[in-house]
Amino acid sequence: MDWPAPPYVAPVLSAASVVPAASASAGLAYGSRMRVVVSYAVLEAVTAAVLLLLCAVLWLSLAEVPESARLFPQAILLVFAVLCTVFLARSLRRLRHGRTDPSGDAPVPWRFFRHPTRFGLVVALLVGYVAAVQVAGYFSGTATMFVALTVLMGYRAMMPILVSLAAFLAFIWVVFILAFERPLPQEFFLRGSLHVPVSVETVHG
Amino acid sequence: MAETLWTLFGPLWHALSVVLQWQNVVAIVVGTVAGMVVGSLPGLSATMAIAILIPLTFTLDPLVALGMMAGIYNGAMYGGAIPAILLRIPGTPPSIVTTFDGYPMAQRGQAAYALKIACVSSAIGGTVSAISLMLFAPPLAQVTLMFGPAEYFWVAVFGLSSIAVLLGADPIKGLMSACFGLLLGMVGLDMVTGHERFAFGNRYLLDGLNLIVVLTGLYAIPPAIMMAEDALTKGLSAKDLAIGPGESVLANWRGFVPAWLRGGFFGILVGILPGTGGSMAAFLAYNETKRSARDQNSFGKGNPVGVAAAECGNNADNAAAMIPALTLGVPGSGVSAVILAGLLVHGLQPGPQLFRDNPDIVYGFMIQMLLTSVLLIGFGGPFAVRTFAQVLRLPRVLLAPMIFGLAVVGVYTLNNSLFEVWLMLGFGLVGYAMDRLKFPLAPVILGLILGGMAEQQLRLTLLINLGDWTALFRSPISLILFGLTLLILLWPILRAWRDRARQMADERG
Repeated sequence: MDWPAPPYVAPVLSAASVVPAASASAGLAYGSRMRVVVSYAVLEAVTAAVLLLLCAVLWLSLAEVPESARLFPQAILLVFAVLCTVFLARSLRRLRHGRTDPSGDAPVPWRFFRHPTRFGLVVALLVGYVAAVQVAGYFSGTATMFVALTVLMGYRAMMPILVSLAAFLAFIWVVFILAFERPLPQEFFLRGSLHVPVSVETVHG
Repeated sequence: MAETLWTLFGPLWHALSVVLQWQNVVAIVVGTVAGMVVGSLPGLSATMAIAILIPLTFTLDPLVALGMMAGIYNGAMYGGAIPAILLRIPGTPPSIVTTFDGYPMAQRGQAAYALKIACVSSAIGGTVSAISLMLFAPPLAQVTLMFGPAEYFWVAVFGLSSIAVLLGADPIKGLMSACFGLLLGMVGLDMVTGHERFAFGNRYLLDGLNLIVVLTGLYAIPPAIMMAEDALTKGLSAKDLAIGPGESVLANWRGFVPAWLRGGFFGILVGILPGTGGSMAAFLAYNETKRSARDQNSFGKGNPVGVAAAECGNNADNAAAMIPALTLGVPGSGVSAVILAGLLVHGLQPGPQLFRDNPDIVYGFMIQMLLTSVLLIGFGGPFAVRTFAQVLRLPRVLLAPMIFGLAVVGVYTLNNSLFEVWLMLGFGLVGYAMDRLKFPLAPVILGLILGGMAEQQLRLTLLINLGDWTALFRSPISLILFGLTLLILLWPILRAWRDRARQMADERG
């Protein structure tokens, strides 16, 4: 599909053209902004190697399992390992021929992350968010994550942020607390109150 | 004869009265509108919306939950046409084909007409597809009564192979995804021996991985991360969404009938075949309509018939994809795999027993697929653009935290377990990596669903036949399914040979 990009998607497309093509074909290179660029074929090869290692670990973990219970997983692991080997060989062949892009047709730059800095920020925020839900409660944690994420991603209009946040939290409250009566992680400022549904951790098995 | 027909289709009448209860009507209306909103937002898909919805529907009646899923499915498939026509941005993958003629029509001031054509064509495609589901699923469910453990084992292997090989562009990656899903399905205690497999002593994993946790992680988290990465802080302007009154589709309906027929035919065909999807149906319907048209040059330049073929094709795939899902437990597309997961979550096992034990639910779902298609006419078209599609004016950076918040609350409320929330986050990162490296996600889910069935039926076959492996190849049905599986697996190699032979012939010629 070959149409001019409308302004709506422009940031994605412009972000992909930061690193020169020549540097990307080298496999591991540094772009104009000193970003490490790992080519598609290199990442494919690394993925295949990691998965092969995973297959070996999983195979060994079945050593103590009775034969009837390990038959099927071992068969799947065997097929998986064969596929990983074929995949690895194909990636290495592509690398040898200098074909590093997803389609294998031309040495165009490809990057794993759409925007590495923002990706790191989002993942850090998500980890912080789940920890905050555990420590401070669902609504407090979500409110913090909501504001932090939108502001860090460059959106600074506080009124729309707060209105959207209030509407979203009201929706969650109505659906999960009022309608379904599901307990959510309790808010830190309400602990000790008997009127609020209490979070219960279940133990599996 | 009449008695047999009544046995097969009589439950439809009974289910109709259940579907028309107010809770179900509200569910299908809400689902259809929500689907249109989700479909109109580029980057969000019906699969993601249903994955997020499933935990929200646990306490609901299964038919209410399925009604919402049916609405989201049909609504999202149509909703993708809105940005495709107005902005040349496909809201969902199949609506790429709609951009070919829809956008040029909008450019010359016919946006409202194009939206009306897309709406009516989607409704017709969805209706024809729902009728095919009602006609074919009950008899096929009866046929499956002839299946034993060996046949069910091959059904699972065939379904998984076809989804893995045909769904994505790279069969090796598809098969690797399927293996990954199968391995995930084996985490926990073995049901026969009680030994733990791949749990590594973690007590939280002994019960196995919850399907919803994996589903939400793989489908909901990656698009939200990408949305945040893109950091689009501006929504569309009111001008972008301004449209005039437009012509009437009814006045020109005769011109669209051949396109609707082709769209309906290809949509149903593609839907029934496991591993294919709405994009292929839309492409086939569009290409065939173009090939048989007198004015082929007008296609791609704003021919209304092109919009009709593409939209009818992609919606005609929807309900048809549920035929193998409801009867055999093998979904025909990624979205139907997620709906199948929704059925399993509500304790409904696909197959003939579903038709026997829960006729109101299974037949009710078929009627809901039909009703939600018809509802598109009432809620779609320019009306949708003037109302629901105004959500496109919201900066998309605001949507990402909402998706994260919904995913966390949905997964937490499954078992009140924060461990599962962490697990979902982990699967979200795995899903992100898979998406960037172009590994298809649907085979993972299907592997997770079908892995247990395949292993159970294999062990049962070997147990009954005292460990004799030839029992897997004894019946004609087993042999046919084995042959089809082999054909599917060898298909990429055969295709490569054929292409090479053609290339060599061209070079010689």
